[in-house]
Parts: sequence; structure tokens; C-alpha cells
Amino acid sequence: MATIFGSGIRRREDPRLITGLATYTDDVALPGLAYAAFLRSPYAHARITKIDTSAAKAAPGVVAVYTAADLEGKTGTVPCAWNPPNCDLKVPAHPILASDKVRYAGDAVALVVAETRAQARDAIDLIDVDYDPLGAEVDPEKAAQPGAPVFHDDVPGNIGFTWSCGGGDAAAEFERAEVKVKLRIVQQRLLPTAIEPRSAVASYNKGTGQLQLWVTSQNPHIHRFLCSLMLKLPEHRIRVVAPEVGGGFGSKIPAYPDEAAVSFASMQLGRPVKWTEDRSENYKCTIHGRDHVEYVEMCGMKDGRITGIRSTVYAGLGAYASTAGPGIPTILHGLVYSGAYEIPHIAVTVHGVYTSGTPIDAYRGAGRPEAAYLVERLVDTFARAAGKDPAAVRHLNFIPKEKFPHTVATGVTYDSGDYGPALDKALALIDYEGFRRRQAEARTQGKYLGIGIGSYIEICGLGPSQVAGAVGFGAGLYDSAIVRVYPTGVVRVYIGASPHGQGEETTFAQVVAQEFGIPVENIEIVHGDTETTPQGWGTYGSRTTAVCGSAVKIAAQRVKEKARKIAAHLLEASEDDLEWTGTAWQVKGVPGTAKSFGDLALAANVAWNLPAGVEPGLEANAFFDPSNFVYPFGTHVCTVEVDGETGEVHIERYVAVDDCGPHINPVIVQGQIHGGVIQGIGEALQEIAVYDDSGQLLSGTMMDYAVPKASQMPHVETDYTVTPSPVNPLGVKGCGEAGTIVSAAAVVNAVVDALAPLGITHIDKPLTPARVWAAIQAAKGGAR
Amino acid sequence: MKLSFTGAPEVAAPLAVTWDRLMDPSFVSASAPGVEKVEAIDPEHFKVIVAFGVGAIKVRFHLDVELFDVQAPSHAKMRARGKAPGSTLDVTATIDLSESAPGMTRMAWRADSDVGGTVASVGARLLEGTAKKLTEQFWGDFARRVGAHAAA
Amino acid sequence: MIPATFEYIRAGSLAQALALLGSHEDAKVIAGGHSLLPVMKFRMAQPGTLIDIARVPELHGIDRHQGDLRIGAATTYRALLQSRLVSEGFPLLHECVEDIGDVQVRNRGTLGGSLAHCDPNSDLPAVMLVLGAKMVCVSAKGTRTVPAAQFFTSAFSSALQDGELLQEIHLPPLPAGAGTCYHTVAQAASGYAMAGAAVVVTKAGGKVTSAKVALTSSGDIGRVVDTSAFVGSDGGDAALAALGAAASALTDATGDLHAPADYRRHLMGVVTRRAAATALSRAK
Repeated sequence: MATIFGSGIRRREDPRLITGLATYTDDVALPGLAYAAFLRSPYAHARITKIDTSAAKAAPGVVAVYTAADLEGKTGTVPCAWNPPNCDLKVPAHPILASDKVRYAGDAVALVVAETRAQARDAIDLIDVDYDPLGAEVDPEKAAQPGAPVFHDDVPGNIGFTWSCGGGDAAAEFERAEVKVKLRIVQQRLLPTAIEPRSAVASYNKGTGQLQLWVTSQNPHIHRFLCSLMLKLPEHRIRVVAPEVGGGFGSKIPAYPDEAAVSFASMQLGRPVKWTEDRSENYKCTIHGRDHVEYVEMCGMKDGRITGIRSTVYAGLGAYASTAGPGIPTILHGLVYSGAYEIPHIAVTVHGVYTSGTPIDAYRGAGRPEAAYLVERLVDTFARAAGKDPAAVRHLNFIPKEKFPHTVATGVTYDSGDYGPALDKALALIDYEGFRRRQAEARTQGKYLGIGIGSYIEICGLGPSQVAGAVGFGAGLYDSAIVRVYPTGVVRVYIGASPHGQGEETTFAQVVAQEFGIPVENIEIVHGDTETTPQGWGTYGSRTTAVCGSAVKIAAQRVKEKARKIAAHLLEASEDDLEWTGTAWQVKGVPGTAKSFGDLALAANVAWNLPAGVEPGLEANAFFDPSNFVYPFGTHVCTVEVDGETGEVHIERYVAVDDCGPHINPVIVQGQIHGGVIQGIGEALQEIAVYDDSGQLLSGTMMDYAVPKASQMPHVETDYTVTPSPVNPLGVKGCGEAGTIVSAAAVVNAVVDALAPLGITHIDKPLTPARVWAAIQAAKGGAR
Repeated sequence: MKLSFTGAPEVAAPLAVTWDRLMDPSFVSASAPGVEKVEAIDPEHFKVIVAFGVGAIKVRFHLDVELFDVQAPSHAKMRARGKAPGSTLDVTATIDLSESAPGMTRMAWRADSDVGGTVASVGARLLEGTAKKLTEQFWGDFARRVGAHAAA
Repeated sequence: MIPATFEYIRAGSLAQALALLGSHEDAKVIAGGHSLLPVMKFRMAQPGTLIDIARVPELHGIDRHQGDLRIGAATTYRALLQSRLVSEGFPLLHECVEDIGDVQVRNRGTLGGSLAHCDPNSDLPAVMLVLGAKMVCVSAKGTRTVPAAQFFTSAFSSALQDGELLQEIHLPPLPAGAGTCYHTVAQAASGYAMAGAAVVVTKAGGKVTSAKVALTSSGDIGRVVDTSAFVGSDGGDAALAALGAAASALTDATGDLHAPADYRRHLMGVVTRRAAATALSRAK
């Protein structure tokens, strides 16, 4: 049979997703359903001096109006689940509904439940709240300065933590190094903008005391756990279902106050309650990403060797510590400062700062794109200062392949890698030398052509549970699968992870199909329901295939081994005398004896004739906990032309060469890379959440927040190298975030390269026409 | 979203007349575009309902207005806090009157506004131009009417 | 994103639309709805009644009328793009409409809706100004014709009076041999022009013989650049630069999230210069 593992078959989930046949949370319809809407604070930071809900309660169709007073003593608060060690993290209370104070524009103040969605919305306008505005500050660096408004009484100075990591002796190295460069980098706030906004349907049965919660979640088991804390309801009384989920990019990892408030309402009323955010709520109340102000330095020798990197980072936490918020600018950021290079001296200091903006949490790549961006901006800046070619500097400093597994100065151990070939392939594809010639000629004509390189590693496939514990992540990081074979030889696979667009219904079926020698059509992958799936930890951190996929493979192998026992019994042969043909067990060298997978499925399930000591049925489960993270890598190269008059950036070509280990489905890998690269280009050129001084989100709609559109984006050329990981049985490294990690750096490096003749060394992303023009004006002014 | 505007129109009326008009809420509100209701709590405090609009957009704010730092006949400040469903408005205005020529008054004004909520996050594109237009319209119309009444 | 309650009435004829407009005080007229519905969903507009004129037959159609091109106000962008009378007779209008919104917007959005809305960031007013369009306004009292230059009175404000509808847009033929161009630099989120210029020029014997230039996103609607110095020039770099400078000078010193004031003014000069250069290259 043809090899299905590695085949670019079409995504099996797509027909229902693109023809409107899929069931999302908002599609859940239940008898007696009521609808909820939130009243949200228009002020960023204010004291609530009065709430009058009487008019709203009397409005047509209104079932109930809840404020913080109604929740008092009955619910918990919104938990933070990542407490990095040795950083004195302060987690102030995050109430489900704001009581005395609101802390960001969008903080929930009241919940209305009504018979219809429109009635709930109408009643919101009838709630009368008086606020006494207090000062706002959304910039994390400014919020960390003395004199900034204080947002939480128990966090004086707004510093939620100060965390550091590193190795070697960076201070001494910066003293003795020959070449030193530094940059101030702002990594702007981004809005994740999943196409499906968040939604929750809570249905509490007062008779059984059970709550069923449909929710837009990347990790229903984590949601079950966190909801039990928020609702003071034992975990075994909560069933969380993540039906079809229309993208998350990290924004559907956290537990939000919203699903807790909706669940509380259902528990009070004994009837199901639905809430779906609109896009404005999505932009104001769903977590944002990035938000760093960084002071970064790199040093090294005149020959181009990099010897040190250090940083002081102000990382915005937003108004409250979100579920994984504190872990992202620390563990997922600081530990990867060595990038793809041997850098012996590293010192990282990160201040996590509370501000009056929307909480910050994981956004595609989460901490690692920020690290790759600053490292790759520094490498280019360093190369220029040393008078070296940026590609050559990267080559010179790459960790050589014979050194893997390799422990870098920050203490993490890279599993496997071979970084040179990816860079070479990317340079060859884009014709690096040819471009440099064209660039030189264009410069004589006053044209601004530039080329940008980004080489990256990322830490993903999260990860060993023991490490999760050591770094303060309040969850396990193993994953799980149950492979259940039906009498007719068809298979259902129940997984702990929760795919929401990544295509695992296809790739995991390919893994199982390969194991059993059956068509993928005979396999269904079941996910997203805590009632039916085994304990797992969700889909994020490019972990699903590396961790959960490995559990699937191991469980399938266990099934196959049991089938072998049954085959041996039926064939009256020793197990050792059997061989797997790809579709059947048979006596070695005797084709006529073949017992196909289907034969054995029936035999096991009817149990008419099983060997002694073998239980009926054909299923197995597996929990897979990897021994290490995986470290995908690659090099992206981008060429641009900048219009010197208008500041517009035109991307000529974009080449991505990634290594995520073997491809189960190359079309899906390519799709993941494409999507990631486009998100990175959006970050580089046009996406920014703009706040005003009063903490108002000005880019509050898609009219002002520039999500990339197909017509604005270049064709992304992809190629690969393949370096298997030794830490999981599939050898895979994860590709969900890979495209996003270094794409912003490649684009910004290209623009800065284009404008280098003007003396421009850095422009903060996004490189909008206005910003690029302003940088050109400033450079020209400075030259005069 | 913070917006600041200033102006200094000349009023064809003596300073004392201009000052009296300025302290007369019904006269002032007749110049303010979109004012639907003015309720005086006391000489310094008012409740005002005003519908700001441009094109199809109309947002009705309920404002608590307070006069303070009143130094007859030349200086006054006004503070207003308003709310509309989902939106907020905070305004501080300063007025200084001076005699620019016999029988003529220079009316220097400054208005600092802070708009929040839906109007800020949705309407940023329209806000500055509209607010400028409405503010200038108000002071211009006020100056014109004071002059017209003085002449009458 | 749920609007407040409103009554919806679809008008079947122009007479009915005008009658409805006269009898409903708190009414708004809707055609494509692309400007009105979003603000209604944000509850920044809460009209009591919507009168839908999208299917009023008298407001549709593109034909020749007394030497002009006559376009019904409810004509969609898509219908404009499909019309050979437009693409051959008024390539400027075609070029502009091609770039408006996306397919969905062009399928529903209407020419008259955009013009009556008077958004200073909208592309079409500048195009109408340089084409010398005439707006036919209709009310229960009859019709009147308003030149484009008087139709766009200020941002979000047109010459339409209460009870009046925009019925038709009349475009006089372009001067013989005219070259035209509409050029913008758009912001990435909405696609609105940060600066835009519409140009109609004619040339003869190496000289510019006529020129009309109007601006998009200059701070107010309907701004027309004085081309008296450009006409009679050779249309070379210096003349183009001077024309660009005039456009910059006509642009308000107000900025927004995407284009700070200094950038917008500068950009207006660039797009005007480029649009004029392209239009000249197209002139015969």
C-alpha cells in the first residue's frame, strides 16, 4: 500500500468548515436558551461610584442583571496559571465582574441575561454607572516609572515581577568585546483576531449539579480545571466542550471572566445561557499579544564572532495577569536569546509590568518571536558594525551540527539541528549574490532595495511535564490518546489535545492509517470534549503533533501488538514468527496466512476465540510525556523595495526554509508556514493596537487595525530541510508557530538594509508608510 | 482620545455685556449645537442633554456641567463630565475676556476634551475634524449673537 | 453589533420613496448600507425608520442623455465596472471604482450612496469634481440640478435638503484627447486613501491646455486645486512639483492614526504629482 505518512492529502475537515456545515459554539441551540451581554467599562482606570441596574432589570425580556455584588462569596477570581520561579510574581485579584475599580477599557462591570440577544444588548444601555476616572498608562516602560498611576493596591510601582536568566559573564564580556551595538526596540501590541470571536454556552442542571460548558477553547481540560476554581464547582461536575473552534492563535488558551460569568448565570437561573462576543469586544476584551519595550545589546569580535547579548525588557502584562501571561516574556522568551548561535555570555532581565491595557497573553509564537526579532535585529546591526556580511556572520556563529544535543548559555538543551544548510538553501533560492549586485546598481539610481535575513530556532513541542513544573506552569505538558477499534475495523481516536484549524484530524489519521494499513476514511479523530477524551493539555506551543501525535502513534502501536497476539493465536504460530505486511499480520514468508487488520478487529471485538489471558476488545491508550522540548529552526529571506517618497514597502520576494523534522502531510506543513509568515509580515508592516494617553483603544475596529489581506501579501516561497528530533517517536518538531517566529525580523531587516545608505539603523515595526517616511525624513535631516 | 482647541474671536459688544451673556445658560446653550435640555441645579451646576452629530451619526450625552474659578467679569472655567451608552466625554474649558477696543471684547477660549469608549475606538477617524468644527461653530455663533444682541 | 430597533420599508418607486421620506421624521435613506449599517450597529446612529431605495427602478441605469452620461444614483459599483459606457467614456471613474472596497462592497455599494454621504475620505467626490458632474436632486416639489462643486458642502454634509434624494449623476463628455488618472496611497486597514488625487488634463504642442485636480482625504470634502499655473506649462518636473506643492498646501494640518498631519500633507503632494504625470502620459 502507498505510504500515507508523508502524503499531501487534502484536509479532511475542510469540506464541513468551508460549506457552513460545522458546529461552532455560537451554533449550539438548546431549549430555554437565554442570551447574555456584558456592560463594559468605557474608562481605562476608574473607581466605580454608582451602579444602578433598575431600569435594565425592568426592560423587556430581561431575565437577570448581575454585578459584582451578586457574585460576592459565590465565585472565585480569574486565576493566573503560570508562576515562573524566583521572580517574586505578584498576582493581584482579577474579579469576574469589576467591583470597586475598573482597570482597562473593556473590563466587565455587569452581565445582562435576556430572552433574546437583542434584548440583552438593549438593556446594557439602560444600566447607569458613575465612574471617577483615575490615571491611565498603557506603555509598560512608562507604567514602571515612579509617579505612574498605580493600578493594584497590592502591586506598588506596577512591577508584577522581575525575572532574569543567562549564563557566562555578560558584564565582563561587554567590557572586553571589540564590537558593541545596542537598540531600543518596541514590540507593539497585537490583536490576535481569530476569525471566530469568543463564545460560551453554559448549561447547568440543578437536578444533577452538573455544568456543561461549550466554549471557544484551545484546551478544554485546562478550561475545566480553571472553571472549577472560578465557579467553586468540583472538576468532576464540569464538562467542557470545545466544538469547532475558528482559530485561536493563543487567544483561546486563557480562562476569561466571561465564561465564568455566563456559567454563574446559568447556575443561578437553571437554564442555559449563551454569550458571543462581537468584534469590538474581541478587540477590547480578548487578550492581546507582544507589548515589549526592550533595551538590547550585542557584542563580539571584529572577525564577526558574537560573544554576548544582554537586555532589559519591560513586558506589559496588561491590567491583570492572564492565564499564561507571566510565563511568556520569561520562560518562553528569555531562554531562547541564544537563537541559532553559540553565544557564551547572556544576561536577560525582564520586568513584567501591570498597565491599564487589555491583558497580554500568548499570541502565535508567544515570547519566541519577540526573542527572535531582537536577536536577529541585533545580528544585522552587529554585522554592519563589524563590517561583515550578515549572512556570513550568521554562518560563523551557528551552532555546528556535530554539537547537538547542545546546551546554550541560558541552560536549555537544543535537541537536534543543522542550521547552515537552511541558510544556504534560502540564499540560493533568493539568489543572494545576484540581489546584492542588483541592489548596488539600484542605489546608484536612488532606489531603495533591501534584503533581510532571519535565522531562528524556537522552543516548542511543549514539553516535558517535569520541566513545566520546574518553570512554574500550573499544568502538565504530556498528552494522550485512546485508539478504539470497532468490530468492522474502523477506528475512533480520542485525543487530549484540541486542534482548531491546524489539521490534525487529517495528520493524526495519517499516523494511524500508516500504523494499521487502513484507509484514512476508516479513522475518525475525536477531540474537544472532556467527557470523552483523555486528560490532555491542549493545542498551543506547536505541541500537538510532537506530543499528542506521539501518544497517538504509541497507542496505535499497542493496538497493533494486541492484534499480533490474536493473530498468532488464530494462526497457531508464535508471535515472533509473525511479520507485519503493512496491512496484515502473517507468518513470515507465508502470504496465504495473512490476518488483516479488519479480520483481527472483528476477532478481538467478538471475542469468540482469544488467546488465554487476552481481554476482549481492541483499544489502547497512551500518555506521552517527551524527554525534552523540540527546537525547529530555519532561515527566512525577504527582498523589498521601499518607495523613498511615500514610505511604502513593497515585498518583492519572500523565501522560507524551515526545518520541522519529517512532514506527516507536506501540504498542511506548507499551509502552517504560509499562515505564520503572513502573520509575521502583518506584524512587520501594518498591525498595531494603538491606545491613546487615556487608555482608549483607538484601533478598535478592522477599519483601523490592519489584519493582513490576501491582496496585500506576497507569494511565500517555501522549502525545507529535514532534521528529525530524537525526543519523540515521530521525529517531528512542530510547525504551527514556525512561520511567525522570524518573519517580522526578516522583513524589518530588509527595510533597514534598503535604507542603510541613509544611515538608518532601526525603525520600530510596524513599518507603515508614515513611519518609514518619518524615518527617512529624520535621517535626511540629520545628514544636513 | 484627547482633543484640544483654542480660539479668540472678537465680540462686537462691551466686556460687561459679553460677560453677562456668558453667564446666562439659556443664551449660551442656544449657540451650542445639539443641546436638547438644560437644567440649572444652582448658578454653578447644570445638567445638560446634548446630541452630537455628524452625517448619520448622532450620540446623545448626559452632561454634568460645573462652572468654577469664576472671576467676574473676565475669567471662568467650565468642567463637564458626560456619558452616553458605551461612551464618555470629559471637557474642561477656560474663557478669558478682555477689552480689545472700546465696546469690543476679545474672547479667548480653550477647550480640552477627552473622549472615551465606543466613540473613541470607532470614530477616531471622524473625531478630530468633527469636534473642531462643532467647537468653533459654538464659539463663533456665540460671539456673533452677543454682538447682534448688543447692537439691537 | 446589534442595532437599536428600527422600522424597515423598501420603496418600490421613486414616488413612494419621496412620500415615505416626507411622512417619516426620524428616517434615514439606505441603499448599499456600507456607511450607515456599521454606525447603526455601534448604536452611533439610531434612526427610527430605514427607507430602502436600492430597488427603486428610477434610480438605476446607465445611458446617454443629451450628450451626457446619465447614471442612476442607486447604480452599484459592480454595474459601473461592467458598463462599457463608463470604461470607454470615463476611464477615470472605472479606475477609481475598481479599487473601492472588495467584491462584496462593490456588489452592494452605490455611487449615489457614496456621494450623498460626503465622506471626506471617500474616493468618488474628487472624481466627480474633475469630471464636472451634475447631481440631479429630486423631491416632492420636483427636480433641480446641482453641480458637483456645490453639491459637496462640507464633511458629511451635502447640498441635499430635507425630503430630497439624489436621483441621477450626469457626466459631460471628457475633453477630446484628455488624459485622466486617480491615484491614492491607502491605509492598510480600511483601504481609505491617506491621500488621493483625481486629475483630468489635456495637452497640445507640448503644453498643458487644461487641467482639473481634486483631492481625497485633504481634511474636508470637495477641495479643488488651483491649476492656473500648471495650465500653459510644459507639464515637466518643475510644473508637476509646483502642482504637488499646491495640493499639499490645500491639505489640512490634521492627522489620524495612519497619517500624521505632516505626512498627509507631504503625501498629498506626491500623489497629486504622480497622478498628473500619469494623466499627462495618457493624454493624446
